[in-house]
Amino acid sequence: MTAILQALASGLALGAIYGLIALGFNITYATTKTFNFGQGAFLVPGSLVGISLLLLAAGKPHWGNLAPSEMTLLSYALATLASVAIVGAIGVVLYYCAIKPFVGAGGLNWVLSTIGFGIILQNAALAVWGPASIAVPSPLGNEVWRIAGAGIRPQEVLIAVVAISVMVGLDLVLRKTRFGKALRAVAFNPQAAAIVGINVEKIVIIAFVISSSLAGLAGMLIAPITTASVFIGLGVALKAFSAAIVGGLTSPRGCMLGGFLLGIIEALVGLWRAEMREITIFLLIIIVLVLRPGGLMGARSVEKI
Amino acid sequence: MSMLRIDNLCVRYGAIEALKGISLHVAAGEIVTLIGGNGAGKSTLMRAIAGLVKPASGAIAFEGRPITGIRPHHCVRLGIGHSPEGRLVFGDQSVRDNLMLGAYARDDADAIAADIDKYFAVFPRLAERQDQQAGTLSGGEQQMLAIARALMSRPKLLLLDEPSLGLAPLIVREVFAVIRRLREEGVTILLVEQMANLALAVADRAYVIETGRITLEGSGAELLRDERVRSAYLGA
Repeated sequence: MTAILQALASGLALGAIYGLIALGFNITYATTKTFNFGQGAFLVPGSLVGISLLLLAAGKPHWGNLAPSEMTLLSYALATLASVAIVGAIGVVLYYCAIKPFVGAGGLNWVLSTIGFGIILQNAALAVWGPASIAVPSPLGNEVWRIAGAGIRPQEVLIAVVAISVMVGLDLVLRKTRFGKALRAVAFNPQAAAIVGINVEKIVIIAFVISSSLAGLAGMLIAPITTASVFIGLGVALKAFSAAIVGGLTSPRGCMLGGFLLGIIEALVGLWRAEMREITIFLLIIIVLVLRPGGLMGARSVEKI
Repeated sequence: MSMLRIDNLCVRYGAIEALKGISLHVAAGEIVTLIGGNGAGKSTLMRAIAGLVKPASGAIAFEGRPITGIRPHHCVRLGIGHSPEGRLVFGDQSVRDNLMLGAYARDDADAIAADIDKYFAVFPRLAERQDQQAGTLSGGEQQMLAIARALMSRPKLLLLDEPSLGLAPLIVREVFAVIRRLREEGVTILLVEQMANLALAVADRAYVIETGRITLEGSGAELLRDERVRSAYLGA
């Protein structure tokens, strides 16, 4: 029982990470019918810029070991905000280099261009930080918390709290604010959005900034669990992509749901037999897609002609 | 001075020449209608004025300033409202939010709220369904919403593209009653319409467009009597 509780906590945290990244796929797919296939590479600067900022603030070189005492929750939060902002800015570059030249032209050039952009980004990070990983302490300490007998890592709690807050916040923004309604208008029909006065390209760029920022945030949140390195992103982004497809790429809530489902199933199956984890997950994905091709919460249009 | 002046406008889609040198003008306060068959280029012309397609050559001027090739969200800010062919209401958002989005280029919140109330009074059925998703409205209701959404930008010129398309005759009559009412309020209208008899009856002036060219022009009443128009578009 305690083992299950423990696995649920890990699964929830991992699922929150998948959900964040999946939401990033949703927001650009909705507005442009494209998304960043190289999204995994965006976790890399998310984690490495963050840890380097913390190291520099502690008076050390950008690559090294950070003692838990050299970091506070506040400094971790500030470093996270800074790295999220930087990765968000990289999202603007991504849009102009890898999306704008190909969007609306049909074909799959954007798939290769975004993968290529990710590889360039990853190798640029390799040049700056090298291949070795950097251990990142959790701002809440690395000591395991005992809750109902189960050992729960404080970083897992932090991940769940931050990620769920961001998801709820973004969901509210999309449904309630003028910006959110404009973004949904662009998603519904870009030309209809343009004729009411919405600057469609501006909305699309913001969508890519949000999407990239979410990946950066995921990188910084997960670093205390996986360590920060040039190689952290790919596996996580593939799962997040699966989460988006299973939940429904066209539905923000579906993407979040898909993330949590995948994270929790992964953790629970891992408890039973680790080698069955990936097999179970991808079998389930195939079954879901056969039964519901649009994903669990995929859009079914209510439009009347 | 004309509110809208178009000189020798050409639009191409790849190798296809959709507009082959169109010239026309619309004066302030006028209702001008464009009639013509399917594929004559009526909607292309509307889309070019609204900034949705870039002309290959020629010029569009609005209130004396050139607007050829500018982007659509700038057109709205200059005072051109567009109720497009196919209506294109935001189906996954409420009727009220559609109207709010119609006022996206404005920032006078109080006046926007007042305008919403005003169009709810003009279109009582939209008021009844204000919290409903626009995609669940009937075709006629969506058409009313598309017109109201375009008016929410407080346009000086309203581009009204095929407002009767796919609507039952009774609803078509309602739409034309709204057009007459807008004229009384002083809105300048460029109307594209397949129902030539109704359009000519409401219009001050009219142009006939055939395969990308203007072939006839005159007052609405003149064209209603014109033999060529009667045989080609009025089924007489």
